[in-house]
Amino acid sequence: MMDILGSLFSWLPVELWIMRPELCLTLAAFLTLIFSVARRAFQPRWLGYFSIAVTAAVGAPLLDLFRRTTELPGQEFVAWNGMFVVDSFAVFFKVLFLLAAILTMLMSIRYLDVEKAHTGEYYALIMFAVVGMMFMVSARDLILLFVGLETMSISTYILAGYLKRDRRSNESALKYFLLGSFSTGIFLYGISLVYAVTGSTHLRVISDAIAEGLVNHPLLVLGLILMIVALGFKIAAVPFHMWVPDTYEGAPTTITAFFSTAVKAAGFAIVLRILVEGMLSARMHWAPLVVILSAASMIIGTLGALLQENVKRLLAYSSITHVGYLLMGVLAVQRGADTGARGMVAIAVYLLAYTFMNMGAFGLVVALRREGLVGDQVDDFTGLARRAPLAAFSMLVFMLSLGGIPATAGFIGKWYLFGAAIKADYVWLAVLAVLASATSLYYYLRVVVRMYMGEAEEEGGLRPSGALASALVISLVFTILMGLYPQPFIWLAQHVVLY
Amino acid sequence: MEQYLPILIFVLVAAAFPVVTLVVARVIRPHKPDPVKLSSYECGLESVGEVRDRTSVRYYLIAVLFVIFDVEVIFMFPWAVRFKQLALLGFVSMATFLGILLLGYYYAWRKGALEWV
Repeated sequence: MMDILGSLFSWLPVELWIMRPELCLTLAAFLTLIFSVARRAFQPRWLGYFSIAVTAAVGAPLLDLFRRTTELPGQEFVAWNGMFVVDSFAVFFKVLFLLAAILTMLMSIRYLDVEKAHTGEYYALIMFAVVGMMFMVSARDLILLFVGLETMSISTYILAGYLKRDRRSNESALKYFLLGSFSTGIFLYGISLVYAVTGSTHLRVISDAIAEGLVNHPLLVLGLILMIVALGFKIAAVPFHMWVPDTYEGAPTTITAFFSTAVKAAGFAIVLRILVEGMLSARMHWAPLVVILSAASMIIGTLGALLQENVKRLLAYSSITHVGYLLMGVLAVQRGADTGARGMVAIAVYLLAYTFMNMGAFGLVVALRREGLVGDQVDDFTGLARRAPLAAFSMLVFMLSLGGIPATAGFIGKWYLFGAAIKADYVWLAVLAVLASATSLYYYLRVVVRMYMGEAEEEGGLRPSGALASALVISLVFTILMGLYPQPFIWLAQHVVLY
Repeated sequence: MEQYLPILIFVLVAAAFPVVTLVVARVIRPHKPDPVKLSSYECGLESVGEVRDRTSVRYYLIAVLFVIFDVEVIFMFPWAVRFKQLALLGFVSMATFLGILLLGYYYAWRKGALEWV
């Protein structure tokens, strides 16, 4: 079967051949757009199933590329004057994006009907966003990286405001758009300064130029700082997090789930790509900044989440805390060699775990949504254990996993990240992370306590659609599986090491 | 950094040019205002209504579509000039580009973006 699929594309020149996943997904997105307005328009629901099928099918060429890039260590395919690279790092993240996109689309099908905003463009935009992310993680040139970043960002700006008649959704999109485009400008300014000093936008050339003694050039340092600020906006690290709670609260819940998993993973992927492949020799300039971002994110995120009554806002603040944890992995990366490799593996494992558990938690919020109930308040979970024991149990697992309790995916992720921080001699930061995650248990368990100890005001269980139920089951199974038997996932994550 | 010196000079000249022109014009021109001269210039037409009038939001859609299809031409000119040198790769690239634009055009058409209700 794989061979038939492979020979289908064998006539392509190698530059396009390694871009099969991107090409297929782009084509599918266009088809979805056209189908949604065709003279005999397809039902949005069927466009949703079509998009899910295509996105899943794109996994086949990706797996083929994964096999080829992992045959030998350091194996990679490069095209377009070295701008576009397919290595196991890129492939890992592409698989992660596909997973997140599939789960998002599964959760969306009934949700959009309830919101009365079901059109085919929604799925096309998600696929366009994924294509943008794929180009981001495959870019070894800052310009291509920027184009990918914009493709992703513009699609997500629209998705944030997809509920046209909902004021909160409008507010969410506007804030996201303003701060997003602002940070894009800062990023471009940073690129232009780095280009002015090193004479190239290619990460390898930049890296060589820095190693040859440009490392303390003031304009280079300024450019680097500007790029870190912009990336801080994109991954939502404190103090560039102000847009997160409002955007996450107002956006359609499914899209919030997408933001907090896929978009964030894409942000971390380019942070790693830029800092490791381009700026490793300038680590004494960026490491102190990352320390500040990491510590501030953990503190502010945890404190902010303590008092939230809205689950989406709560998860927004919690995602800021998780960014703080993940940045510890970035700090380990600067040490190079063993410790650095450990940091990268930790980030990959954590992002994988985070994708499943966060998707699951947002999926439960989606499941509560029905005619006449938004379902995003902590109170809406009250007494859920009696009404829908299975749903309550899965929420319990997701919350424990987010809090980092053993036997869940979140624990494995934290174990690796905190270990990497200690190995990299940031013991005080690891202590802070442990304190933050102990505090975070309070607000995660608050939801659990309401579910199990509160009295429900209404009767009747949840009736999630088949698609949503399968998304929840996938998230639940992987969250538990990764906690009990993490070896395969760690093996997978070991392929992201970029040195 | 030396190679950026011409750019700096260019920036300075560009900034100085309007300032110098305006100042010189102000110093040497005669100053005899009358109501017609002080009215805002509208390509020779008499201006009608307020400046901050409300316009239909449809203008925005039309304007955006116009920009897209206008900028597309800018992309095509250099390609047309170098058509022979760019050969088949150039042709296929441009065909793909136009194909994508055409899909967008079809989408906008079917969505009714080109209709003025």
